[in-house]
Amino acid sequence: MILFAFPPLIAGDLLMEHERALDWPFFDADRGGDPMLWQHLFWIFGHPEVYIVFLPSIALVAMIVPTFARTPMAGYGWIVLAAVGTGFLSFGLWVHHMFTTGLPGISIGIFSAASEAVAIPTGVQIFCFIATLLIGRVTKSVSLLFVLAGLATFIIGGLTGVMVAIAPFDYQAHDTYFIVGHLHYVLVGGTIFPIVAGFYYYYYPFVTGKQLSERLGTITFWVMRVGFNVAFFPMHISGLIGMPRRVYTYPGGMGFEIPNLISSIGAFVLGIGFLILLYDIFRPKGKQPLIKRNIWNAGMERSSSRLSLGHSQHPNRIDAISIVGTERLLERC
Amino acid sequence: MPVSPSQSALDTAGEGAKQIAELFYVMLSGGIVIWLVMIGLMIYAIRFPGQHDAKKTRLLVIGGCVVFPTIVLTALLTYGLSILPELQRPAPPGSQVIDVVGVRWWWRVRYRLPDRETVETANEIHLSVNEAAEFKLTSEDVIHFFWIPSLGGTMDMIPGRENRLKLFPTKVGVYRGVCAEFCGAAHAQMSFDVVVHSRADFDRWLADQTQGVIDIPHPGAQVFLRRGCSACHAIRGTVADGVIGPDLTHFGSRRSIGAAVLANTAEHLSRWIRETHEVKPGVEVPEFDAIESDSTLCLVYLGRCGDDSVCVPAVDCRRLANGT
Repeated sequence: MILFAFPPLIAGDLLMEHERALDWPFFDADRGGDPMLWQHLFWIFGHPEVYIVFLPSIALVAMIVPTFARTPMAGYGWIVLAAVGTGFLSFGLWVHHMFTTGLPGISIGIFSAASEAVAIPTGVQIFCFIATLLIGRVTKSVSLLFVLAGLATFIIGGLTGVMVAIAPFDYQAHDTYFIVGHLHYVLVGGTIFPIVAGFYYYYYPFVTGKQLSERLGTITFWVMRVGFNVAFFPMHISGLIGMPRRVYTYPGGMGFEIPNLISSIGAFVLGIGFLILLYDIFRPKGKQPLIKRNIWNAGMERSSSRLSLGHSQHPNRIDAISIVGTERLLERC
Repeated sequence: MPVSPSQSALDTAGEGAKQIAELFYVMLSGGIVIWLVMIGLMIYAIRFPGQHDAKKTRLLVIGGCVVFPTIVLTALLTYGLSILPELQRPAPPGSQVIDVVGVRWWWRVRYRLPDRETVETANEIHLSVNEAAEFKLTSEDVIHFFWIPSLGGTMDMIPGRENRLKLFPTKVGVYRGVCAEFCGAAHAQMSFDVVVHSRADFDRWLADQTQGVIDIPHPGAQVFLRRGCSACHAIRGTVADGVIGPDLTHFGSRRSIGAAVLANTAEHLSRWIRETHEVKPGVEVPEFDAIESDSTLCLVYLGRCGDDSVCVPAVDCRRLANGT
């Protein structure tokens, strides 16, 4: 996807640099250029980019859910197909960022429909996760909490996404705080929360051989989850009552004060959540015992845990060999 | 702040806004139901583990993620897009045509008159209730965004292109429009007032606007010219004919100053002239470091006396001339 999505951005950058450095007016309307060209090039990159950051996190979710449901992934093939489908569709949606640029109705209709269509493969992924939870026996953990909160958040972002993909509604929501709310629900729910889950589940134990605190993790979870919703939910409202994006000030008396105050409080709470997470990551864990390999009994983790960097302190272990192997490879480079 | 008319997309006063708000409420209720069902399913899955056979679950997946969304999304698309042609249809012939040009960081507004003349004003749009108005939108510099939430529908203002937008106000009142596309330093302070009148009031307003001011010898006029204000600002009926900045003819009759940043009162105007960059950072008009008497004269000339009543030429010349 990166291979196909980035060239339009690079092309746009080249044109921009030509305009700036050599004064070739690609985007300057006074001299025959067109600023719409930039918008097209940017969004042909910009929309797939959303999925470029989202799909790896969905892969994390697809690892974590079956592990803690203690059952293999339900509908494995479906999820793979859905991911490919999402990736494919994501290249045909960029115009929904440009509904208000004065395009003809037929183009708007087609891109509206295509944008709605992407809800189907995304729904497939979510339903497969729910099905896995249904079939399995769920064990509680911080990772799973973050994944479930991520899904709940992401579903809200997806539903507001279905709303703004309907072009007439976008005429009122475009470039407002409603969009700011929507995109954060999608990206925090779909990307950030799964990454935090990944920290607890995989990255940290993998790299250090030690486990993050489940108790601190539970606190982090609640602080972040509350903070996030308090910060971003009111934005839907402030957007609908007329607050545009990217303003540093607004006139009083139009009802913007209260939602903005609530959002600011939420933002600080969310920030505190991240600070607790950082503390948990960086606090000294000298006395804490090393964890056993594959702490979560994951079905698919066994092969990768042999490479665990954290265990390399024990030279007798088999993974020391793989480390040595890596070093040799590095030397050759 | 006296200038705080509605800027809410849910507080509707126009046909387009009303249809879109209805669409929103339909989608909102559907969205809430779907979210609750999904969350309910997740909680159910966690609370009652291991009692579900794979076959039933497969049915759930197929129903929930293929059949259901396909039906719902098709219905929603049919309903949602059915509004689109009406929103995009041009206003019927004979409707008032208004050119609005986005300029950093204000709005040039031109009313097209039946005799092919135009009359220019700035930062304020007047409309007649229950009549469609056709807007022709463009920009002089960067992309701006023309949004009057209460009346509905929005459109980009793109340099080198002319976009059109039809609005159909249904309630008399004052509303607020705003630029919603980031356009530079003072983007946050680029707004305008929209006044929806009855037909008779609108006609009277437009007739007033078409008249230039009566160029009576006024000391304020000399200050205005001497200080070079006329290089950028026009006051029709006088020698001031600048085109770079907002047209100031009938400035005194406007509701606000500086693209709806301050209410149009004598006190605010005085502040605007002397501390422009403090009120609206980034704005291109030079600060007017006038001595007190000059600025007072200029104030009076632009149409505001100390007691805040409209008093001189730049204002409502017609009525003044008629002695009313």
